[in-house]
Amino acid sequence: MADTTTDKPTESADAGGDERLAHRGPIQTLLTRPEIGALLGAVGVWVLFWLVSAPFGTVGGTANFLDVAAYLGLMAVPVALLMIGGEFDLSSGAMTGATAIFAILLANDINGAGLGLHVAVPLSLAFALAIGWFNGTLVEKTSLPSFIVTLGTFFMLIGAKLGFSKLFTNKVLVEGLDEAEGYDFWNGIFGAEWLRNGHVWDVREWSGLWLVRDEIWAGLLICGSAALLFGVFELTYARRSAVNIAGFVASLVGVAAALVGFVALTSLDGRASNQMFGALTAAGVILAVAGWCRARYERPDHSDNGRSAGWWQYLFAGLAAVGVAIVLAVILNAEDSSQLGFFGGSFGRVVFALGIAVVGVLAVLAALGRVTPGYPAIGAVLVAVPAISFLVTVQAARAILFGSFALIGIALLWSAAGRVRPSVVVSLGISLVIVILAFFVQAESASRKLRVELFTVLLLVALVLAASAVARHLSAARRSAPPPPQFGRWMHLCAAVGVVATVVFFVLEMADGDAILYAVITGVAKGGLAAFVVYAVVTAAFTLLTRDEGVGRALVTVGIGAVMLSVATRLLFVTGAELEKICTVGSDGEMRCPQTQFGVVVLSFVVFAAIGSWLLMRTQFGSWIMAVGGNKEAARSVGVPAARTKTTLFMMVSGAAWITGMLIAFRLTAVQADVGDGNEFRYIIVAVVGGNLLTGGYGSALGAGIGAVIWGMISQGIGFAQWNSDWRFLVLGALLLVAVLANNYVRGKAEKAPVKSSATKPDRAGITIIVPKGLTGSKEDKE
Amino acid sequence: MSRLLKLLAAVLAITLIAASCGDDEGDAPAPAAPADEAPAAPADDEAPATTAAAADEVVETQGCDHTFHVITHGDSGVFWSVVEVAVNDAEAAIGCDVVYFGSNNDALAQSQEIEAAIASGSSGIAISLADPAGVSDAAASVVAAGIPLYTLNSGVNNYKDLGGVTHVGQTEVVAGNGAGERFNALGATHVLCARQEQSNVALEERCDGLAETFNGEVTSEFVGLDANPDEQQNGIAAILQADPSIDGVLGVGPNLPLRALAAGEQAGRELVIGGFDLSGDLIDAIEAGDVAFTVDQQQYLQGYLPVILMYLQATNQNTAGGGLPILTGPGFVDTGNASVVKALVSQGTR
Repeated sequence: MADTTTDKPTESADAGGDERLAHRGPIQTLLTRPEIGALLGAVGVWVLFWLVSAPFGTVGGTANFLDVAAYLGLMAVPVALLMIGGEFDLSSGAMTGATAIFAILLANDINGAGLGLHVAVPLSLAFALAIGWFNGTLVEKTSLPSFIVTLGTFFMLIGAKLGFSKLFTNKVLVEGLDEAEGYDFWNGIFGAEWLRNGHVWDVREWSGLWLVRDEIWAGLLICGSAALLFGVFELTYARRSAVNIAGFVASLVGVAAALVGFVALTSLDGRASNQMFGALTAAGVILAVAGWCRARYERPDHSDNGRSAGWWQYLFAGLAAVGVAIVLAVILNAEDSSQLGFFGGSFGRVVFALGIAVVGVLAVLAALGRVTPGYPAIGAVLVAVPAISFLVTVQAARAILFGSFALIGIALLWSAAGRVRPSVVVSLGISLVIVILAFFVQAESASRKLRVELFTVLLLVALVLAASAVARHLSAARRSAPPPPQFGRWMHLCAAVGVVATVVFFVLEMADGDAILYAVITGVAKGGLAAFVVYAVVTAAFTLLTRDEGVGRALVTVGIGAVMLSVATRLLFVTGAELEKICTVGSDGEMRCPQTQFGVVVLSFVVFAAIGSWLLMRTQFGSWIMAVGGNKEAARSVGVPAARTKTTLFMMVSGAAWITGMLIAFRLTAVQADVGDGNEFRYIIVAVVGGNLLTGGYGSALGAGIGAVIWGMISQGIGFAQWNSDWRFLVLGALLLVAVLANNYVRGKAEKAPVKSSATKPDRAGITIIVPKGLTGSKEDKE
Repeated sequence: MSRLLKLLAAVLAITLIAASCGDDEGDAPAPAAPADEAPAAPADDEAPATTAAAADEVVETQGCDHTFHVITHGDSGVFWSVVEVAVNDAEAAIGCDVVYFGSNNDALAQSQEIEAAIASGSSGIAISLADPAGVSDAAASVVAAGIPLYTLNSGVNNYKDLGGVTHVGQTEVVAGNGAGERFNALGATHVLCARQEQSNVALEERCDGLAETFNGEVTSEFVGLDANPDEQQNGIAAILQADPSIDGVLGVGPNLPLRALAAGEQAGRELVIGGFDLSGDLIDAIEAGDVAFTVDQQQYLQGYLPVILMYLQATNQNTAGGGLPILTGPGFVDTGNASVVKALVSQGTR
């Protein structure tokens, strides 16, 4: 990495006063990422629909919106890369259907030209790549805007799809893929599905493992969260020179107490014992965190005691919001499923009309510069309330209002805590408020979902907040970024274990007589799992046994990995008890179970998002994409092959369109000529929601994936919430706007916070810019 | 620069080949563009040949000097392609030129095409009124120009006010009524009326018609466009999971019943499924007993009859209908007649 410089502060310990070298904590770094708004938006949308719909949060509901999101995201990720590279591809939507129709027409015995799928499928890939190359080359050679060039391709593809379908089949629905030669082989690849009901993970029925699914996923979730928490601590706080033994012992005692409490909590059943052991667990966790911080991190300087102006306003506003949340929950009827419909009568219409008129007048005044734009915005929100009230029922409104007021209250209280030094007392008070909220929810709710799940989540949130408040009180912040970890050569061991395990499992699966794709996927998955376990063990060992300061990042990786594995375990496996609960016997005496399935499309989506992010953030090609999107001429003059980069991006988009087309074709076996038309705008919208700029040069592939998940959740959530679909686009538009605004706001805040004045805009934090060796040090800021 | 020229030449050659292929359609059973000749050559040879063929046809029919126009809101979907086939068949039968145009739900484009047809001196214009407000000005000017106006497919409520001769189509409410009675007979209690378009009057009327005659509860929802089949399936599944009382789905298009079938499996539910219009896969599903029935509005008639009616009015001064619409449906396809209809569907005429 000798020839790279990064915007990120390097390991120089004496940062001095240079703002560019100032250390940002992990939370702040996360908040300046382009996809953070999308991430928060996704969480918000999920919580919203989880509150108002019973099946949305279940595994079936998750599989449902993930399927929609995957078809979108599979394309949105390469489209986002292309947008970061400064170009658009309007033909991307039509191309998905075009590759599918091309393949079926070639494969089938039409006009004596049945080539079979073994020829047709690879040929359709070549066809897609050729169109991508054509788009890219034409854009590059003519310097025409890609908007125009690909618009031409878009229309040509639509016309060709329709024309050739009608020419060869006299119909617009091209059918009969399943009759083509080689269907079984290719269907094993593109039509493969993970049927959750077929993967029962019980003690009895699953070979070798003595743990059942629920223990595995809960354990992974807890260990992962712990690793994540300690990783964040490690990145945030300064290490002390020698370990404090007393703190270490206290930490061990805390861990032991928490374990005892947790085991008792899960095995005993009774109100009093639950409360007692729950309190023991919480106390144990806080003691463990406090001891760990005393043992490992420097003590902070508490000399700057004081309160900044306005902290008590935040405190009271926060308490008031929580109070309003509780009052609303009490006065609104939880059983009432009638429409809210404020202002139904003529009085309401007058109020509504007056509101609109006032907003209009305020808007004109704002345009003339007489009032600030905030006033019409507030007015517009007030007018929107009666409009939205036709959408939701009383019980849904109760859930939404309670949730949002409680969240706002907690955020305000948190903000108040940030204005007080030391803040630990106020922070612990907030945790207490959340605990009270949790017990209120438990007492007030009728549904098991809220009484048990939301209750547990709120208690955990309170615990994490309390633990981090204690940690912040006991530890001093780092002043410089941690160095890279020292266990570099152990990575070779991880890689070796991973490769060997992959090969072994692959051979084992093949010996079992499984299909080749299944064997490859399970081999890679199990190999990756083995490598991950070795990585986690090495990280834990280095954290506990060495003085390596660079383990923080590795701990965060392990934590995120474990949490994701936990979610995957929950989604992919079923238990016998769960199956018994969800299956019903139909009128014909036949057993019917909801078929939760994950197609290859979901796997491809996840892989694409991962590869896209890796490409963009860690490779030279990713730097090239950023460079040509930011300023093509400047990029060219420092040696970036701009034409090649852009053409490659266009070909990546069309390659993804080929995969999408094949997935659709093998799912439906019959493809209508207009499949995919119009989706190109969805891809672009989703990429923008994910934090990519329309102007290029900035963005995130992962963000586009998250944007696709948001779209999937909204479009499916409306159905799950039983809202009338006439409102679909109103809700979709409003929520997308909120997601983008949140993105803007959060990033703006986070960027302003640490670095006061800035000549260098820090929004490229974390992006490696490749500069030829001779030019290092004369890096100019392109903006 | 020379590379660019080569590229352009290649593009030109491809376009010419495509054009020559397109001309072959419907003209003759002759094989498509010969692949063994040099790419640019056949395009030059082909062009005069097709004009000659067209000229022959005109001579054969003893010089029909009428041109008729069929201008619909149709898209390139399964349904409208049958109408287009019917228009072409009718064109061959009467021997006059018939111009077909589908505006793909764009009322402005449809109006412009109608104005253009008036200007070109049409002898009869048949239009669909999916968006009556958007197209009625153009339709009124057809009548004002003294050209016979027919409506097809949609427009049964408006054709009389506009001065049209008659309407050829199915009234959507009546078709929905028929579906409702079928669901009653099949014992459903709560039917989801799934729509593939929003703000389409005809689709809404089908659902309204269903609600009129069906004895149970009807939920009418838009579940996703035909261009996004995965969204349709998951959308129906979401509604099924949210409301356990739904035991029937009426898809008001030919693709939705199949999506409903998959969604029912996904949600683990036993459903009575009905559909509208036909496609090969849908008939297979009806044959297999997975889908109970589909309402067929026999749209071939909607393309064929207006052309014949316009021809007879232009050449023989006949006016059909007697001021009432000519209904082409509802016909039903169920397990009883699925195999017969199947053969016709594969010809593209049902």
